[in-house]
Amino acid sequence: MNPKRVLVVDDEPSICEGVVIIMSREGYEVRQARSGEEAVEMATREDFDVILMDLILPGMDGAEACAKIKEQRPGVRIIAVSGSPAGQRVDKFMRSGGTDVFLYKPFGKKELIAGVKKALELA
Amino acid sequence: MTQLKSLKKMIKVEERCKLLSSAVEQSSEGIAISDLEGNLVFVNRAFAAMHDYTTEDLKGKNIVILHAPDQYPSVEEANRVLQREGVFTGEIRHRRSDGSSFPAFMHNWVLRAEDGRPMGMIGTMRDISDQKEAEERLKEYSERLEQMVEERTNELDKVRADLFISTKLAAMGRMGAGIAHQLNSPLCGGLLMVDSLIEDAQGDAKQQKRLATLRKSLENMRDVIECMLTLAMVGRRGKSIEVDADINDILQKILGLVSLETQQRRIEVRTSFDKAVPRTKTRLGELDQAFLNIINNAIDVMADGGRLSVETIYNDGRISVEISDTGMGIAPEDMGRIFEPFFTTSQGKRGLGLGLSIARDIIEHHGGTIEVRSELEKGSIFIIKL
Repeated sequence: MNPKRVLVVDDEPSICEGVVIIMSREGYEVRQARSGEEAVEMATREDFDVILMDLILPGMDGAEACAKIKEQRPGVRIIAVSGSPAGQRVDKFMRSGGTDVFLYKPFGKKELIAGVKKALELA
Repeated sequence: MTQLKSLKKMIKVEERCKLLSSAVEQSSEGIAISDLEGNLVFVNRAFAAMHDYTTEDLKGKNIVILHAPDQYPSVEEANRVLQREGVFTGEIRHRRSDGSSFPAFMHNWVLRAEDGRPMGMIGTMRDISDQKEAEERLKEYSERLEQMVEERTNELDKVRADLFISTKLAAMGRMGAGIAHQLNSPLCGGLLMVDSLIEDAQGDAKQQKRLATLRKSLENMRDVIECMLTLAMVGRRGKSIEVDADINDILQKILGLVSLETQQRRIEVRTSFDKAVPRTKTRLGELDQAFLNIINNAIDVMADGGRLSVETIYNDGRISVEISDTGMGIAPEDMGRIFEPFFTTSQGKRGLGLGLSIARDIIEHHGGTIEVRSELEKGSIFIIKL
């Protein structure tokens, strides 16, 4: 079976690197993007199974990027990554039709793997 | 001098006498003249009336009848001054015919003949009962006013202190929230990297131990940041999301979060969840935070083991959550302050001492109550009603 493809979108380099290392070891294929625009571009070009989207990004924010990606790839599962449960960005994201899988920063290996598995179950 | 001239003079003198006599008689000041022994030779109507006598009653009487025995010392003193200086001015209490007494303001002096020889004493007096009463009332008002001012000042000080704390908290909250959010990202990267290093260190016990310590310190940072963000959230009421939540689920989730800690500290965890507890309207994440803070508090006081009990009861339309520990308990003098911000009794406590105060804020904003009962050396129990 083909390995599942994961895209992590975050402007924090250590998060991207950490996700790449951990999820690769778990047998996933992982790519990273540092901005909303980059994420939209990559997701349009390539097929991903799960996208980890930080909601707070420079330029185009995560919620907007999600909406754009869903237009092109309606089947992709999106995990919203956020600093806290409350906030306008979470509201906006939920209204734009994102999945209800949330990952709250700071998360570690355990939460990351569990989150990705849950998102895939929903597919 | 002709007979006519001396007659005219006599008439003038007589008229003058009549004038002066009327003046003295009709004066509203009490006027009395006595000989040097104090026997009254003349009293005007006012003087007699003040003492509730007629002028006839007092003719020839000694002024001693105008005073009660307990007033004698002051009268004697007044006389001494009169003899020494020739004049006395001051307050003396007098006695009326019915025995009642009243305060009087007196002006007494020695009456001298043309050659300076003392002939007798003369005094004017005024009943100052009304005046004294007014003075008393004024003093009373003044004292009461001072007391009220002191009370108000104390109240104001307290309000000002409260305001200062809450604005300090609010400012800290806003500032903290901004910083905390920014810290979350690199911290997250740090946790992920540490986790991958821990994987790498399989088989190297020393390395694993060090990395475990490193992870612990990152987790501590995470806890402090969590406190700061919840603090900011508590301040920004309008922005939270309302969801229906199962309190039993929330408690179980929290216990899951802390299971590593309870295992490490050898804390026995006992639970009893009432299945009848219904789903309730809550603000997303807030009750989680409140229960987490209370449970963390319990874990903190049982560093060397103990029992943590979490129980839910649904009764009479109210949900009760009881969280108890077997720690050293809370001292009676600390009981009133346990929910105060920044109040902390244990050393090495994580966070800033805000946990319980945030928990209380959250519970109260959900329309609930929280109280604590404690026994030294036995433990404490936090009772939350929603």
